[in-house]
Amino acid sequence: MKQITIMIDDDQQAEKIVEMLSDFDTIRSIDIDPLWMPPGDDASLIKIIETDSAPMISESRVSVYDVMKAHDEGYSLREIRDTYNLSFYQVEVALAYIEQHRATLEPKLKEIQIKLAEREKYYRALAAERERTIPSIMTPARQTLKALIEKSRRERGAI
Amino acid sequence: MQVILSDHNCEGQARAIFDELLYDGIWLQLVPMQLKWFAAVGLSNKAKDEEVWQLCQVKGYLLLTGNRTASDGAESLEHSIRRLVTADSLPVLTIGNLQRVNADPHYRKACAERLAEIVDALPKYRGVTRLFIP
Repeated sequence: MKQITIMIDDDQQAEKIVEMLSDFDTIRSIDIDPLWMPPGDDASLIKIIETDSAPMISESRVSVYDVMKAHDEGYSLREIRDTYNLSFYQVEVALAYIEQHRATLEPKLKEIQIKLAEREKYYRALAAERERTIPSIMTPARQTLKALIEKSRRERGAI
Repeated sequence: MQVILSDHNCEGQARAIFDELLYDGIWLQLVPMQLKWFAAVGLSNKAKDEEVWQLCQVKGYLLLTGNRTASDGAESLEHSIRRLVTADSLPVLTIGNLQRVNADPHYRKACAERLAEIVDALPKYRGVTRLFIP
């Protein structure tokens, strides 16, 4: 007898697949083990840690605001997990926290986004000034790189 | 060879940007770079920003990170770099939009181009605390 493991990270899909597989006589038994636990079952494992910058998801370097922003922009749980290198469980814990604290988090998120946009503008201007005032000495390798970048920009329609 | 240290929160994006450079091998011949993960340099997934920044400065790594949505508290990366930066400090490379790296191949390519451009001209960026990619 062979044992096959199929990893499915969507409970509803898993149920459908199990139903379909049940029709095959050669399959003796099907066991389902959850890949992650829903929030609340083991609150000691993953939690939200309050810091002076933001509530942070434990065992990560991701803030609750990162997840909230992505969630509010319509990203799915899976996309949020993939974007921030989190587990499903970490995203679920963050979403549960957001649901509970949305009234407090929402105005703070808006304020942070304004500050981040200003900061980005400032740093981009600083870099542009450095590039203007300190030109790079042209070498054959740098010339090749410059040509390569221009070719790449042309290919993606940026110039 | 310039080491690019990917922050734990953007490892997928760092890998995707590097894949763009690896696709046509000439990029990394012209600008030799190596991508490293937190685990490979002894940092944990939850390392404090200041610890990460200090390690990069000591080892000569360029930190590639996402633009975390948080205010500039005392333990934040922004606060650390503003407090500790010198004229010789290496910049932190910040990916402007992590979602777009995954979703938009043109944006991903633009990130790769900018990364190569910055590493090639790194001395001119010393003392600039943060550089945005692309």
